[in-house]
Amino acid sequence: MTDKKRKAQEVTPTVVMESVENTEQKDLPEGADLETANDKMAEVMGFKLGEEEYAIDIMRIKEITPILDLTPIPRAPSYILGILSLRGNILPIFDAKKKMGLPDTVLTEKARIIVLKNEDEQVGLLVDSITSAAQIPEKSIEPPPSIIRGVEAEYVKGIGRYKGRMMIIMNIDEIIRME
Amino acid sequence: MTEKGQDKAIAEFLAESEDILESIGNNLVKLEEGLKKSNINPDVVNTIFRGAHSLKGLSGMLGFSTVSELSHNLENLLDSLRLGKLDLTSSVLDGLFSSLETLNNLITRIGSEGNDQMDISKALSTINKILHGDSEEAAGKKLEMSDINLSSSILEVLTEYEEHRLLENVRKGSRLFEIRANFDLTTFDQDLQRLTKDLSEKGEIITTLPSTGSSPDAGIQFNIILGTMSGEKEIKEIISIETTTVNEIQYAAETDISEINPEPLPRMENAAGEDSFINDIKGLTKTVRVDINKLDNLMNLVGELILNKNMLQKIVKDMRQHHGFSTIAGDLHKTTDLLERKLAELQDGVLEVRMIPIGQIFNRMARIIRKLSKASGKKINFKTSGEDTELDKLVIEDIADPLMHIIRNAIDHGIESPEERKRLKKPAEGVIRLEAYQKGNHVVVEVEDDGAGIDPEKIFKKAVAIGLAQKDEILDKEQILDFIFFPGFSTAEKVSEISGRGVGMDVVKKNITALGGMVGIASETGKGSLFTITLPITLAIIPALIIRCSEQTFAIPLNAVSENLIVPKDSIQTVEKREVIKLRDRTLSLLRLQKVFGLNAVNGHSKKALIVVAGLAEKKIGIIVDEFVDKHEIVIKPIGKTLKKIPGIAGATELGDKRAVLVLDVGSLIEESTRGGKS
Repeated sequence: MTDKKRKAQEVTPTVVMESVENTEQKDLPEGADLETANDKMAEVMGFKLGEEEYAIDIMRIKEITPILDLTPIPRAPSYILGILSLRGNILPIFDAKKKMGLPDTVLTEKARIIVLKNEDEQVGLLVDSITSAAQIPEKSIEPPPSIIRGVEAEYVKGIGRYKGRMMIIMNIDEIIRME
Repeated sequence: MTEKGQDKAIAEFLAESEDILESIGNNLVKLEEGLKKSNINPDVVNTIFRGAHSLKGLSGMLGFSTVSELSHNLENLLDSLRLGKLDLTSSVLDGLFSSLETLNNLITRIGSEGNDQMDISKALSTINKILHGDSEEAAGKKLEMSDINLSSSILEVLTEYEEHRLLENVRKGSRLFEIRANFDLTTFDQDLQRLTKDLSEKGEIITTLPSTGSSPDAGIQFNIILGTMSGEKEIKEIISIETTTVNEIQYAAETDISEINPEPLPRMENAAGEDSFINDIKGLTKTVRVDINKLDNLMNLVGELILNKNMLQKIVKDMRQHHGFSTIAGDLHKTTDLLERKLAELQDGVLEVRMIPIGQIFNRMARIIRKLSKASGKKINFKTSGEDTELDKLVIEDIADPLMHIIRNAIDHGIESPEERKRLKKPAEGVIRLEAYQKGNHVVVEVEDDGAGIDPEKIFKKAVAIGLAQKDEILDKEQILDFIFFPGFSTAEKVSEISGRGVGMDVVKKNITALGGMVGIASETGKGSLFTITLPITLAIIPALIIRCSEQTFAIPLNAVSENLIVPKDSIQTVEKREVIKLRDRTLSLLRLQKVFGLNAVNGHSKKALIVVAGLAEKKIGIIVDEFVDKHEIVIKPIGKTLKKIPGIAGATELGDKRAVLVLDVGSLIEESTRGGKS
């Protein structure tokens, strides 16, 4: 684990566009030249849940919004934070940390809701902060180790490395599934 | 691309065939009624014939050969009927109904599998048997054309169909008139049309033939043959053209001449006939077929516009509060009001498009009853009223299944066998009554039968046996009958073909509750049962009461609210661990959302309690709230597929402040509270 590097990364701004520009322009050749042009790249969006950096397929994301007023739903499972009205659409918001059994964290102003497309409806995923968009060669994605810091393997698709950081690629369908 | 085009063509075909089959079905029901009264309307037979003909053409075009083959055979059968080669009997009608069912199955199969590969040999042989089995017998009863005193020039040009109608009139004992009318060449079309219309009111026009009798400069002559019950004088009275002559055609009075049919005349009308069918299809109605999803989108748009309007109204309110009554605020207020009115009209317009008369469903039920009555050997007189009552298309679709279930039950467990009914001194024919009417913001649908009724004792025993009630519990009849809506409840001792399919009344209730409706039952042993279904007219946009409870906002559909009460807190009593109040000599159970939903209790200092009395039909409950906020038009939206099964919550809405608000599901809250009290 490259703990130090990850710590350093945390200091960078969390607004998506900035972080993409800032980092990617500096060391452009990386990732692009190491692999052949034909190699498929997984395009993901990185975000933080607690200390770890996670990522999901960027194509699943519809938009990212700050946390607006949520309406709690009685009788819903604890990992449902509530519902959000987004331009007339009602979407349920999932708390990924609760669902995966991670410890709670205090939300800061960096916290965001990632709005995901799920079949013909939308759902929201609460994350502590957005880190950056990333392209990871699909070949380099490693299968998940049996246990990653207490996260159950079913929620993890694999481990990707991006600019020396480790991104846990999430099995998002499993997260937004109700038991 | 072509594949997409094909898909679209098939979708259109399915929609159109469904319409045709629906119409055939409705007309078959009419035909059956006609048969009972032995007054068969030839137009109905013709309409069915045309339906089968159109279906043949449509299916042939898309290569659905099985549908095409069956509709072709059906068309032949109907052709024989309309030409009088075949008499309409109840067995012929059975054949028609069963062909219709097979066609329905074929169309359903095309919808789900994309092909019509199905064995239809049974249906074909039924048609064949009818066509060839009966013909000799029917021929014996035939009248002969030669018995009628018509000039051979006319006789020769009559089509087979016209000939049949002529004989049919003779059989009925109508008088026949030959009317010769001379018209001016310049106006003959209008004149003829007027005359035809006048004559049709008196009887049936069998044929209208242009005649060569008069000279071309004088105009044009038409020979009309009219079959009527009226006398010569009456006919003459309605004819205003002087040059018209009316002659009665004599025919032999005895109708029991049994000779062999003359050689069938060549069918001259064929080519012309086919053309007129095409015209009929084109010009039948000025309607547009619209996918319900498009209407939904439109409705959503209207809903969002209403949200915007609500926001505007909020801005106006804020402006007045913070800036006083300025001119600009006043103008904005006026404009918003105007917008509100126009929006209301737009909303009504869109809603109206979605409304269809419930009669469609009634006709479907008539067919089911017919089938079940045959299968069970029970005689049933099906009475309907209120077919014109309109409901949202989606509500209509979703009400068909529950209605069918109730009717199945009524036939299977309610109506007794004819022998049994005789023994009970009831008329041999059981009655099932289906009635719809509007009542405020609701449509009430009643299904009543005059069968055996439901024995409360039996129900109670069963309820105790499956643990729904305590042995020593004292319940009133209403409460006991309500058990039939509980899951796993079916008192039928044996599973029957008709209703014993493992689906019970609980599903009926579930489906109706899902629509925001309620279902109730009343029954008297030996006399029959009455199911009352109360449905909201539309699900799209509804007025709602906004309340607050435990610092959360909720919306309650206004159609479920009967009144709001403010009562002293100490008037709330506790009976058997449940909070109740007395309301006009009745006991009203109370419900606290904090308790049901596990919200934080907020202890107010007020000595008053605010209660929303909610419920449909006879079941009511008082919901204790902290604050009545407002009334609002809301669009109920689902809270996501993943979350949809939360009891007590119908969905969510937005009130214009961009915050989602939960909408309470009063039906399921009531159910829960009554069930909670029993266990």
